[in-house]
Amino acid sequence: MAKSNIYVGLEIGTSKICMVVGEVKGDGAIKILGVGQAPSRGVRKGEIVDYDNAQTCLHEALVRAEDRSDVIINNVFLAITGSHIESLNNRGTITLAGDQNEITEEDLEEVKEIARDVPIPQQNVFLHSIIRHYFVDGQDNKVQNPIGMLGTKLEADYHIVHGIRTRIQNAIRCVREIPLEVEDVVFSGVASAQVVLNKDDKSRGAIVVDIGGGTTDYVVYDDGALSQSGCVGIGGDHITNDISIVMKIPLSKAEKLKVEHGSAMIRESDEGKAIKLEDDMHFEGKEIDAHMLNQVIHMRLREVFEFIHKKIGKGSELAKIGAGIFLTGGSSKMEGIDKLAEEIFELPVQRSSIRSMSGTASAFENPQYSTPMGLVRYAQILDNDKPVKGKGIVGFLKRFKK
Amino acid sequence: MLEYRREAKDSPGADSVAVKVIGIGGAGANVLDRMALEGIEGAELISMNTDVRALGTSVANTKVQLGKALTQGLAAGGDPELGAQAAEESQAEIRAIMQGNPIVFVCAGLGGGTGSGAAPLVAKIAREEGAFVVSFMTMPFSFEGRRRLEQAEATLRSLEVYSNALVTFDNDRMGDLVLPKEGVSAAFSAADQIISQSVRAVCNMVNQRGLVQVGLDDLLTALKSHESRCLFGYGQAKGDNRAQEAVARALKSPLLDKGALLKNAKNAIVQVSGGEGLTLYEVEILMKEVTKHLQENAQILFGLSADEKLGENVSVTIISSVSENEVKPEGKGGETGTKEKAAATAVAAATAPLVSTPEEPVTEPAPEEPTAKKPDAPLSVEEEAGPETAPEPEVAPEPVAAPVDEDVAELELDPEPEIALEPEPEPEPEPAPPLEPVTEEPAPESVEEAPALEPEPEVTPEEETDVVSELEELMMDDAVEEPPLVPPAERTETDEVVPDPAPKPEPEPAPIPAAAAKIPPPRKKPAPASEETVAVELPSTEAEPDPTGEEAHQEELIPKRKPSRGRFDKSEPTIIDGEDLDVPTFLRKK
Repeated sequence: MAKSNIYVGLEIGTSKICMVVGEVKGDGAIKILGVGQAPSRGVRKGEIVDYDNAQTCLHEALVRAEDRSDVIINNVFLAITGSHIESLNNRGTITLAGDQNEITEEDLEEVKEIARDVPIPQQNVFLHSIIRHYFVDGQDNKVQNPIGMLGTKLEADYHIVHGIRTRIQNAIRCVREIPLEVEDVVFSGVASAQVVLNKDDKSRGAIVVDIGGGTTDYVVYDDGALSQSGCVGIGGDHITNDISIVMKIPLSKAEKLKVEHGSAMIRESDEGKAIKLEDDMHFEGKEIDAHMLNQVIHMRLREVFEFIHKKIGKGSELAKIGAGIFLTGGSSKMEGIDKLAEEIFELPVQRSSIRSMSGTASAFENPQYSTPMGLVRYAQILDNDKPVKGKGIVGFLKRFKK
Repeated sequence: MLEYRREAKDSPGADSVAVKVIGIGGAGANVLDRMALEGIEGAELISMNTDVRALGTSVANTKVQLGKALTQGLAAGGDPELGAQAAEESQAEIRAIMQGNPIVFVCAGLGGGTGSGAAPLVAKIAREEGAFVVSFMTMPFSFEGRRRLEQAEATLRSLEVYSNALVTFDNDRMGDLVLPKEGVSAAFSAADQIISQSVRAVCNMVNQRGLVQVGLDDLLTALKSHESRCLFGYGQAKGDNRAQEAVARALKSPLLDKGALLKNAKNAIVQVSGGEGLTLYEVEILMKEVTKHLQENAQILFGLSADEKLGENVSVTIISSVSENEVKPEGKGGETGTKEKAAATAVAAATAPLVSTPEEPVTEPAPEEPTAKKPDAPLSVEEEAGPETAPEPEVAPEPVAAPVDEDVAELELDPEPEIALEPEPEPEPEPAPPLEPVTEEPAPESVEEAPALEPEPEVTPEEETDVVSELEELMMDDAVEEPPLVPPAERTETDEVVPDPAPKPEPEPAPIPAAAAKIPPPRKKPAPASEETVAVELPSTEAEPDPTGEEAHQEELIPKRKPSRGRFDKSEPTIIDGEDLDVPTFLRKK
């Protein structure tokens, strides 16, 4: 595949469809050439439920992205999310032949194969298998690149992300029908982490929580490697929906209320405070109790965080998190959300957006864009990682074609 | 409805009904094994499985290999399709087993292949062969995944159609059965034990002759609600405090949630059995204890039987159900409604005679059973009520005491039986005759006949009002009439409420004085007992109006269960740990 060093990241989100065109410069820096965005329809909880609608929106985003960046887009990296995404860690072990002490590339391939060979549900397919560490002769030696080292036993720890095949295929097909070629599919959380975290954060241990419109994705890095990832099918949409149901107001009003007055923490100043809604004619309408509004938001977000906390806590990984929690995604703009996260995780929390990018990026230093931006970053890393392998990305998609 | 009277007359030998317990698949086999271990009387255990090896280890007396050609002795591999096909292949064998109108208990674990696939078909065949089908189903753990749960629910829906009663046991509740530190196997066997106890209790209840008989119709009433969660408690105790202890043990059953769940039950079967030594006083204490845990106006289907084998022991079985879903006011609902009332009146009738013969269990059966059947056979009442007063008393004592009870009764209460007999004839003349005709045929299907009978009972009271001596009978009739009258009105429950209260006040006060007048000599104990029983009756008679109250209660529950999900209404639910996360947290946690 003739590849330029321009990459396009596409996220078909629940609230918006966003396409980011980025150019990777010789020194590895990324310059954002343009962003095309369109409000999303036909997507629920990160998954496409209405093809035609989604495609219309996608097309709109594509046109805008091409227009802004002045690039003709053929290939994209597609972000995948949805509550069907799961992850696990697996270790593969081989013992090297007695007369051979030096670890070769073949050995590496072999141990990778073994490590990746884990049973996942029949309908699932591997989304990522990401190397965490190699171990040579025992547990204590974490090695990034064991080739050329001497040893008798080689182990590889892999982090494997998998999801339901048909659901992933659906997203791919939707993009292909535009038509655009999908170079790779990436779990949204993994993509976000690429721009939210720097190397230092990763090695100190960090959790990225990407609260989007329809889903909340989380990934955990410890000791520089991905150790957990997952997705909860709850996002900003749910908050809006909650407000709409509890307050008995239309969704559009609920959304506005959430953005303008919402807070994840219950503030004392809210006691007895009322927010006046305007109706369509700008007359005064219903009065909303601010305290109750924030209670609704607070309880929902608390539940999401507690759920993630429980999931991550299972691995007792929290102690290894040095850099803390990084909140991103559109809903992370909610006031007080950092305090809430801090309360639940008992870790330093920061709201985070895109780092290490230049160009028009300044306009997009908005947590909403961390996933599509991250896709560009991911593409770059992927490219650096396997420049030699002829198999490359074409072979990649084979696993989704059945 | 299994009535000793009918058997005594028709075929003295056939005093028990063929009970077949069918375990399907692995979970079903486990239940059978447990049942065999604990011993079950007069029931045939039949194991059905696709897996030959599992079948081989089963202790069941009859084994059916499903889908011999299809799976070739392997299991269904979690595929209900395969399970259903296998059952279809072995249809002829299954059908052969169902011969003879037995009561069939179908036990299976849902969510897998064989159980989910074959159970509906087995139930269907049983039903086609005229059997009375009670399904005991185990729902999969929630951690087994949504797919299995969906499979299980699909199966449940079809089972609901084919079963006369459907009881589900949720595996997730297994944790409640044992101490947390106890092993997995203990939990599973405890769960199996509960199912096997339920089956056993139902069998015994139906098969053993009772002094106060509880029939299948009562059972139907108690388990009537759809998608019900069965409440089942069994307790046995001996010693000085045996009555209280037995109740305490029964209430300890996890399915009853220490009795807390009983508060929600509309009706409950309470079956008391004891050896020779069981005194009426004990029964009274025991029932008092149980009623404490019931709604004030819950309908109690009281059963009493004497069983030599229990020796010093007293056992209490409590069966009830709490609907997990709204009860649909279908045709069936109406029918069972009539039953309810019939049963209620039966209780009332039973208690009235109790007053007259205080300590005698023997006397009770006669009056109550007749009344219980009355609703079904109003015709007979008209014809025979007047002339045949004499024959009945004889009939009554015989069947009751028949093999088991007679000895007991005579041993304990030699002087009284006679007394008991005397008072009975008067009130009973009517009840007895109706029994015979009714019980003979309709036994299992009496439910369906109820509506047909409605018009007649109304007529009977008018005709008989003239006879002064039969005033009591009138009372009885009134009570009986109500049930049939109600079903038409039942759809609009408000209507129902109106008619009931009016007629009832009359019947209740009347029987008591009547009884008292006839038998002044009774000891002091009887009096309190009678009050007691009256107290019990009152709620039961009021049970009819309850439905409205209960339904209102259920309506309250519905929104809780299915709260609005707003824009996510049409999308796939996000369910984690059994909570529907699409519903606002605010509403769920508040």
